[in-house]
Amino acid sequence: MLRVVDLRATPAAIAEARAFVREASWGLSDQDRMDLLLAAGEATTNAVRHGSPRGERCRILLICRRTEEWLTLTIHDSGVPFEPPTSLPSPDEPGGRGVHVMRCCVDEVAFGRWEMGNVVTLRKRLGDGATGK
Amino acid sequence: MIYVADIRLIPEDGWLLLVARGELDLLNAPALQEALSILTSDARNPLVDLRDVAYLDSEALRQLGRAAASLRPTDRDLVVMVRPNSLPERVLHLCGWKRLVRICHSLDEAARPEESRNA
Repeated sequence: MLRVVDLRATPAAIAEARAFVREASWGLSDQDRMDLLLAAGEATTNAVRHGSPRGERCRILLICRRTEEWLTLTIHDSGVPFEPPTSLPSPDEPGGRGVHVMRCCVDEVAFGRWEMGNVVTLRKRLGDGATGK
Repeated sequence: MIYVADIRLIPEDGWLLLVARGELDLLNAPALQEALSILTSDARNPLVDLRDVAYLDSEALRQLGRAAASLRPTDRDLVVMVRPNSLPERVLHLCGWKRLVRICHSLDEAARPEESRNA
């Protein structure tokens, strides 16, 4: 199963991305859905904030693929290459937790590039009864 | 449909409550920041009620962290009320925010600092 949504890079896109993930994550446990929603929300927020150099003229593409074993969500933006942080900021620094949340909430996270910019891949292993058939 | 958050400031029993409903993210971060600024500059005890918040992202967390830091010189805690096992509680725990804010599950618990510190 494959689902795609193409969004204008505005703050409102983050809520639209969450709605897309809610629809695409049927069959997951409440906890797994919550975690996927958090990870996808953070990735989309980063795409809007850091991956859209021409602001609202940029697009953000979300693609959801389901197989028997995995739900894979990719978030594509138009940003320049970046190095994801490898550790948490100090407790006194209030920002910079988005990538940490992604890593805590899904089974696999990868940061890469596509023709137009960055792509974040979030993978959640599906349990019994949550296959993509 | 875009879910818009509702943020209100309500005085109650010596507290000033910031009551939020809906989903808190980058879209409504400026409104949250402004409400938190009013909350933390007030002399009453500040409490953020997130029990009816369905989604909370790291941008909203950043605002809460800044508000908590601004209270340090006054020796007051920022109390954050959440539903047990909710998404806001999960985010607060994932990001280690228990060290920055006092998390509780009810107003009664908020009034008893020693109990809510370990919530």
